[in-house]
Amino acid sequence: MGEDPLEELRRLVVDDARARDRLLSATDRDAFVLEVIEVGGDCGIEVSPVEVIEGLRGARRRRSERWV
Amino acid sequence: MTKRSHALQGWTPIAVEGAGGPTAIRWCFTEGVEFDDPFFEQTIDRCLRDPFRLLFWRETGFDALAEFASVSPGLRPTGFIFHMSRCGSTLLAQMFARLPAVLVMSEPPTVDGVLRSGVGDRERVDRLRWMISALGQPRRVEQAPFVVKLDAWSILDFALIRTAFPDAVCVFVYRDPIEVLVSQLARRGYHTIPGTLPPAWFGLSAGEMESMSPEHYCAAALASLCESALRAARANELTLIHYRMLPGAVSDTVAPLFGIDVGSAERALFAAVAERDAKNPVIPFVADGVEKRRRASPAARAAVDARLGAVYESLEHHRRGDHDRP
Repeated sequence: MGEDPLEELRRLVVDDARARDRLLSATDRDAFVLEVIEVGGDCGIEVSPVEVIEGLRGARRRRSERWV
Repeated sequence: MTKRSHALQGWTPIAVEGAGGPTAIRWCFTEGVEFDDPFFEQTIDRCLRDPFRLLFWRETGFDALAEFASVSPGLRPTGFIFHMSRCGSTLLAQMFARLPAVLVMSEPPTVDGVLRSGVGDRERVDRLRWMISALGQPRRVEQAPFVVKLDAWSILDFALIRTAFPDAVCVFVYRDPIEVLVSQLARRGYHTIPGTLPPAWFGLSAGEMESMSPEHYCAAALASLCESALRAARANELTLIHYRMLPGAVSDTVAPLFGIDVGSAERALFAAVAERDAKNPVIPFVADGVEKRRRASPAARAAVDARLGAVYESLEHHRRGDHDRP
């Protein structure tokens, strides 16, 4: 089974200052989701809006569960 | 040592995960973020409201932390703030955090994660140095003094912290124990919840912990912190700061010890911070010592008398001795 596309993109983006700047400049969550999809496309990684939103939810959940 | 570029520049370690197994360090991209909230965790929560910082995290092992420390050494810590909790230590940290030239990290959980990482002391010393180096990456070019406020129970690891940073100045903030105990009983801190920390750290067996009243457990935990501080103070490795010395002691005693220059501008900033509640700066500071003593139950007073009174008096005796010296 291949790697989760969002995870694959995360690994690329954390080391890519230009991609990081693009994503940081997104003004709200919807713009951010679109930007992630675009950055993914530029890297040859297809990511869906649902995957991005679920990724955000998962990261939020992981943060909130850190004391559990 | 000069700094070179490193992939972790702009990133801050926010958690040490996997205690008991392979440990991983979780990093958050914090470039452009000031650590000026009362607590490190509040700054990270603020940071993670940004979807990029939330979604695009990093995870490394300690090897990457070590490499980052060698390539991009952070500021050397000039001061450590130890404390017994609920005693003014957050005010102290917040006053320094208001100064643009001072980097303050207030109770970063990654330091506790290292101290409790279950490896030998030598490895913990190395890991602590690397972690403090990563936390000490300056947020502004002019930042030089670096102050770390630790979790209350970190005083139990004083010797190890001292070994890692023999040149840093250490202070211990404390307060009338009945006032601290009343505050803890009203809202427990992590260290005063039975079972969160090993009872042996407080000189207790598991059975003793389970059979103790809340008043006695809290008092036993606080007493252990104070006893560790007293040992360090008697070894001349730590300066004692009583709550009632605040806020004046910040500019008159602690800042000079930490090598922080305080002029009229800094005093004005300090005064503004002291007017607000340190943990919730949107509300004004209200002195609550009298009210806390009034609310103290007979059980709380008995627990203080049995477990905390003597060590508190010893701290006071030592502190007054310090001050009486010519």
